[in-house]
Amino acid sequence: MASTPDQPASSTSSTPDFDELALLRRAQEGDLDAYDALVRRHQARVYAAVYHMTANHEDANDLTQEAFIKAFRVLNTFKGDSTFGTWIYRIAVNRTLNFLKARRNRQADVSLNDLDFNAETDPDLVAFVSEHTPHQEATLSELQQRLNAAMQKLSERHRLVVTMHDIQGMTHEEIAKVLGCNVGTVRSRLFYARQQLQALLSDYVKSV
Amino acid sequence: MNSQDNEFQALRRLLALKRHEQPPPGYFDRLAASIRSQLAAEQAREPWWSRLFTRWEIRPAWAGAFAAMVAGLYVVSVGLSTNPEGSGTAHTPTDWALGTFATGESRAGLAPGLGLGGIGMEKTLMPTVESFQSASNREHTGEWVLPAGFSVGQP
Repeated sequence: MASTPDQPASSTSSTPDFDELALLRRAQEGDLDAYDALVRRHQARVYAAVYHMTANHEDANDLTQEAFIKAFRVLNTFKGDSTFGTWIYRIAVNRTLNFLKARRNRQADVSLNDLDFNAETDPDLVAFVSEHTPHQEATLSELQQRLNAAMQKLSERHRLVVTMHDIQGMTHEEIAKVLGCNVGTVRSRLFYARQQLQALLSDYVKSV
Repeated sequence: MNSQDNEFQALRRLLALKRHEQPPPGYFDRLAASIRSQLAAEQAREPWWSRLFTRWEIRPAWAGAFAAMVAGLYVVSVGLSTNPEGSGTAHTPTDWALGTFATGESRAGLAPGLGLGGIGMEKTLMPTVESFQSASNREHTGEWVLPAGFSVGQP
């Protein structure tokens, strides 16, 4: 089953996936076919998280590869306390946060992915643009640029919870598990991040 | 939570736009292939013993089996080095160092010439300094067999 990058993968649930467990055991013995299958299951979701954090396709590509390669090296330390999906996601997020910390002092390059065809036909988005954009001629592409610029102004921690919750659709509990904090912290960070975004995008977003 | 979500409903609809940002077509196939090729190259560089240790970490039973095998070999080798009739004593390192294995051989009940001395081991036995010092006193007892090419008291 292929999940879209931003939808929560089934492996984040606490239900054990026996097929995935079998793949994990084989991968732990060095079976690259099995690990390849795991990579294909989780790469889209991991990539999306890193991409939305960095707003740069090349950086997201490098960080995603690094995360999966590092995970393979330390696969024997994976004891199954969480699902593999949560584990690899956490590795990728930690690497991304370290990367962003190092990048903070230099100008961040923005290299956004193109919007897919569905964006132009998404009724929600079409309605949103026509209702909320200050200039009717504003295109989706301009909106994308503004949105990403606003996201990049958030601190990494706040950007992360917005990415995980509002873009990737993860629950507060799942986010808390990945970040190793409590649900209350996730909620408060999300509230603060949304407030900031709302202020930064006030031209586009008016409270309903 | 619902009130919070309602408060930011417009923002959430706007953020949904980001879900449509997708990498170029075919990107994920290339990504998986790239990860796999890097890992395959790493595995090829990895020494065999490192892979062995890695497997032991996963399957402690393998490590246990290997340890049991080594212990078994040790027990068998000790058993072979003792008197098969059970009346003798194994040669200790001291015996070898002092060159008294000939006596040990006798104690073990082996016929002279059929033990280690019989296959020429005494020819290669390295005498110790202490052995040299006491060789002249012990030679007549028949306990000490000097290696070929050695003579006591002469340069």
